[in-house]
Amino acid sequence: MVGEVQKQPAEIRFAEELARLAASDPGPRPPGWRLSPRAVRAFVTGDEARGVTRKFWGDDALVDRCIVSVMGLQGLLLVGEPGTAKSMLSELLSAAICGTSRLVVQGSAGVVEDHLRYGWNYALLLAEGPSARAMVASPVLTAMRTGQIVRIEELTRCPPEVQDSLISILSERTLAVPELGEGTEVRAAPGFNVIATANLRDRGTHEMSGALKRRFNFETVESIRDPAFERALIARQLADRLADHPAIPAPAPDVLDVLVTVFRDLRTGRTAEGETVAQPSSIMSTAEAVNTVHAASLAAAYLDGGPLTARHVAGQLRGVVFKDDPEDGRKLRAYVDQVARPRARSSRAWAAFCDGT
Amino acid sequence: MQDPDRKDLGQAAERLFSPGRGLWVVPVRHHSPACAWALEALIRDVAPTHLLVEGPDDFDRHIDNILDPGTRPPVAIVALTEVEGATTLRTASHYPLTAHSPEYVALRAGRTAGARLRFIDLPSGTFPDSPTPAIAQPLQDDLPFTSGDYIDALCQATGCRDGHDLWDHLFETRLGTGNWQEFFRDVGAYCAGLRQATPPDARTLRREAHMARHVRAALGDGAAPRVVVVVGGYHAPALCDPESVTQDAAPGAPATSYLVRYGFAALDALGGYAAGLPLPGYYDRLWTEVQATGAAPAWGATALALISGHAEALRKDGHLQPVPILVESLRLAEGLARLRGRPGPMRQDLLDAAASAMVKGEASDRKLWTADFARYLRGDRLGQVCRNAGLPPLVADAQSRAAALRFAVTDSTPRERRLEVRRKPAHRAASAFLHAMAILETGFARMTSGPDYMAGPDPVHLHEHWSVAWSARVEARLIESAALGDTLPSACAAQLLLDYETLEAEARRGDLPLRCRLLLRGLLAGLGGELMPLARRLAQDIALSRDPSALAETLRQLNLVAVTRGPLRAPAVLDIRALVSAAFDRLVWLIDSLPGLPADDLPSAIDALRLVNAVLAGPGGEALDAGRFAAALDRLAASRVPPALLGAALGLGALAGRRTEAEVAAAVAGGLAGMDLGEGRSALLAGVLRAAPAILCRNGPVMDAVDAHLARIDEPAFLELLPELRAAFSTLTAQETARLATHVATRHALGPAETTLDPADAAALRKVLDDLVTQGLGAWLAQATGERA
Ligand SMILES: Nc1ncnc2c1ncn2[C@@H]1O[C@H](COP(=O)(O)OP(=O)(O)OP(=O)(O)O)[C@@H](O)[C@H]1O
Ligand SMILES: [Mg+2]
Repeated sequence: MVGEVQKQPAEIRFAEELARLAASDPGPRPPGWRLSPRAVRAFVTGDEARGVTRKFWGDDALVDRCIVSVMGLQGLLLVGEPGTAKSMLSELLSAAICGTSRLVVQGSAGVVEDHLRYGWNYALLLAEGPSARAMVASPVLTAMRTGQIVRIEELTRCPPEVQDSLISILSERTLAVPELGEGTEVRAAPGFNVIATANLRDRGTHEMSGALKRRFNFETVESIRDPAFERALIARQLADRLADHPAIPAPAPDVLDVLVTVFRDLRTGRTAEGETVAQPSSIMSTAEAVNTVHAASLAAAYLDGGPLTARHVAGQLRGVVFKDDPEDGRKLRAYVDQVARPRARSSRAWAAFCDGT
Repeated sequence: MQDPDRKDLGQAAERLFSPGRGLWVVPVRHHSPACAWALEALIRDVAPTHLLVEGPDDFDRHIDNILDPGTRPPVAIVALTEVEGATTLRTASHYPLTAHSPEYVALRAGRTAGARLRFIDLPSGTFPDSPTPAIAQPLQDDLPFTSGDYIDALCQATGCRDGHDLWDHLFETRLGTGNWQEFFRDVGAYCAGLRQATPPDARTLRREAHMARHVRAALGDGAAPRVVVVVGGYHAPALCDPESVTQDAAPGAPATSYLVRYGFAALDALGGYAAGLPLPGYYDRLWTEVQATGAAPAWGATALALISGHAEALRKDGHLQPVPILVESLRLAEGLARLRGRPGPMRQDLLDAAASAMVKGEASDRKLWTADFARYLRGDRLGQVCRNAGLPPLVADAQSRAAALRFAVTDSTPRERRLEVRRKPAHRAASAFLHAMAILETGFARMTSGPDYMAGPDPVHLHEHWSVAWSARVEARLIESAALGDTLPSACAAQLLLDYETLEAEARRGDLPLRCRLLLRGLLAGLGGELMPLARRLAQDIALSRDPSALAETLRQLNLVAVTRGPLRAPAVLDIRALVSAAFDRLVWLIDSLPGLPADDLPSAIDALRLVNAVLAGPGGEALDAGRFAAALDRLAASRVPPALLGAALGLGALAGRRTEAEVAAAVAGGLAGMDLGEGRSALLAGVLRAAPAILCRNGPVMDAVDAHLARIDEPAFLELLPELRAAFSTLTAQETARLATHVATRHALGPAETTLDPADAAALRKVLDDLVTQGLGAWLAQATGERA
């Protein structure tokens, strides 16, 4: 996703807020936690009085449940459609709870058991034989030792037998290291837990075993329900991304409206007036909306040298979001004809949007 | 929203209690156990001489029955109000009382204290504002507690999810603790805020004026009266100073009202319309607990009991919940409560916890589980009313009919009944009663097997088999239908009319047969003349219909009624014959407009023609003017029509003997050999076969033409024709199929082996014929001959 690599981890980006929260946190802290559960919640959902910004928009009860989940002995598994901020939520929670969001395993078909347990430095292994020094700890093992949170991204992309190596870690909270002598094991320090994210419906994912499922509490992260929220969020994230381009002005409100409406219509398959719309297979997440308007802003400023219009948005939409699937292209056309054109009669922004497709 | 001023709110709260004037205004929320608890203590301390409760003042006559030892909540007072112009002429408003309703607790405590008990709101005839016929309306108004900017802002500030959660968080957490003075002062301040944020409308002011009048009267009654006024928190600020409320009230008429048993399920549904706390079973449990211990509920133990109770219920349904999941639920509930700053898990914490721990998958399953847990928390208790409370007329009527037909109404054991509806009038009467109870969806009776009356004469099922069981739930359902009518037949007729209106509102295409079915259901229920309004509506809709296939099916149904001597028989007043004629007339009229039909609608229009033809040929058909139908078809054939329609007109004409088969055969042959004008060459033949498949069985000129054509054409052309042939064969009866097979066999000199097939083996033959059409005639013939050789 755009910009991801150029971003600092949450604990650095929000270091000041975390420090403020820690300083004014009277609540008791669960063993191994840097903050009390309430301060963690304030970090995620914001607390104006303490100058803490809201970072996750939407279901606050979900955040409560996640925090309480992590306090226990079940892992937390965040599932849901792409781009619903599962990874972001996991990053924020780990940063607030244990001070680091950087103990991460990125799930993929290439992940092997070593990535979840430990590997060896073969030079040392050959020279000295199995020793603690020759062991290369996985993020999971590190988190167990230090009593921190390990994040496993896209858990269901790992092969099933690799996933299953988490079962004993989650239930026994120990990791046996037979190579270092019989009975050698690492016991998890208080504060250790797993926050995983997964997409249950994507292609290329593997069904989790029942045994592993039982060791997780599932939480479904849904797309933002309130259009006004979504709009505000997009505006803010766009501003963040354009911080390095001070010459580019903020987008006009009607352009943002068109953007949000198009994404919501296509995502839900239904307009606010109740008309049904063919849903594209492309992902119409908030994150994609940000990508789209970001690219459109750059195009408007540097290619056209003018302000951002809905025409630019439409152009990016076609080029970025609908690039893969010709069938999606048809659906977008149908949407423009049935929904956008009638709106264009009374709105210049919508007219520009139709122009651009 | 105006920002409610803290000082104002505090002052409003201070004004609630003026011992000096002998007035205590108590702000409550309906069905709140915390309010009930504090109110009980208040009444004990104050020992009022007068206890006034918000509720229509004509309900006073129910107070003794409410407090009778034979009455056990949940109960409700149902008021039936006449409404001008609506279908059902009445609407029912419900005033429910649970064991934990502050109003109920107040009445009991007031009686113990020896106070005069009175309801003080406008008479029930003035409720509700906007009647929706036959849908239960709550009399208590809870809206300000659940919506509005004030509530939203407080939710934001406290991290609560909605108004209910907020109320729980602020007040139910205090259940069984502290003193009533502080509790009601806080409720009072909270409600004063509600009122500032949502100013009262004119109606509310009228109600408050009326209530104030009662309060003034009580204050002037006797020496040193001590008056306790129990009202919804929103009204409290207005009643603290009853002298200043001068609006003149226009008291309406009282309605007819009954004290009835009520259920948690109905109460929860009513809660959906905003009348108090949802999940009554949950709050009832809290209440029972504080009553038993005299102290705050042990929240953790309650959570444990609820979670394991639900698991128990699930186990009975065959869903086993592993113990670790229950442990995790409980841990989550406790953790969430602590995170949210509550003394222990409340309703929302329990629901959240259950959802987190129980669901191993995505949100859609979550809703299912949460709903199941919510249902468990809702509970399904039914209350009981004392004997002399009397029954609403509909319930009494249904009960006496049931008793007369010897159905048990005293216990709820399911019983089987076999009814010989065609032979025994008493059985027919019982059947009508059961059909009627089914129309009201009482759950009293279920037909386990029996004739499908709508499908036509059924020689196999002669008797109806029912499973019946009277239960409190049946009664509850009848109470919900109380507005529809005082007798079972009139209530059923009103219900059918409502169903009819629902269909009208949905306005789905081609739903005329569905509307007609309502009439038939009414006939089965023995409603007879009560169905007049429905029949009139149906007649209008028939006269306006533009849908030939819907009309034809309606014609078929109505004709069934016209000719039957069985349970569908209609009384003469309904004049079913006239309806049949109306449907027929309209169909004949529509035939002339068929040529303009869109191509997609042609097949169903042709089916309609065939159906009309079948009705004309069958019983009852003699009463219709077949000549007019035939003449219309002739006109159709003579006009410029799509070939399929032409084929249908010709085929039906031939069947009716109005034209020769040779004429049809010539047209078919011409169509097959002629130029393809877009519909396919076989369109005309397809029309013939679809409308008059029997013509093939006559083995005459049409068959010759088809046969000759089949012999001539190549594979692709054959494949083009295949679907129509298949469809045509599938409409033949078993005998016709057999006859056709014989013709095919003899024509192609297949010898007698196939021709001697017993028609009873028709199923096997149909398969052979199917193969014939799927594999191609030639291949099949070759194979069949080869086998013989
Ligand atoms: N409810 C929300 N609150 C705040 N930001 C959101 C929300 N929904 C989406 N976003 C934005 O979308 C971005 C995408 O989030 P993220 O990559 O965490 O999604 P994801 O669910 O992990 O997606 P994927 O399934 O593709 O991994 C976030 O970084 C954030 O900027
Ligand atoms: Mg992710």
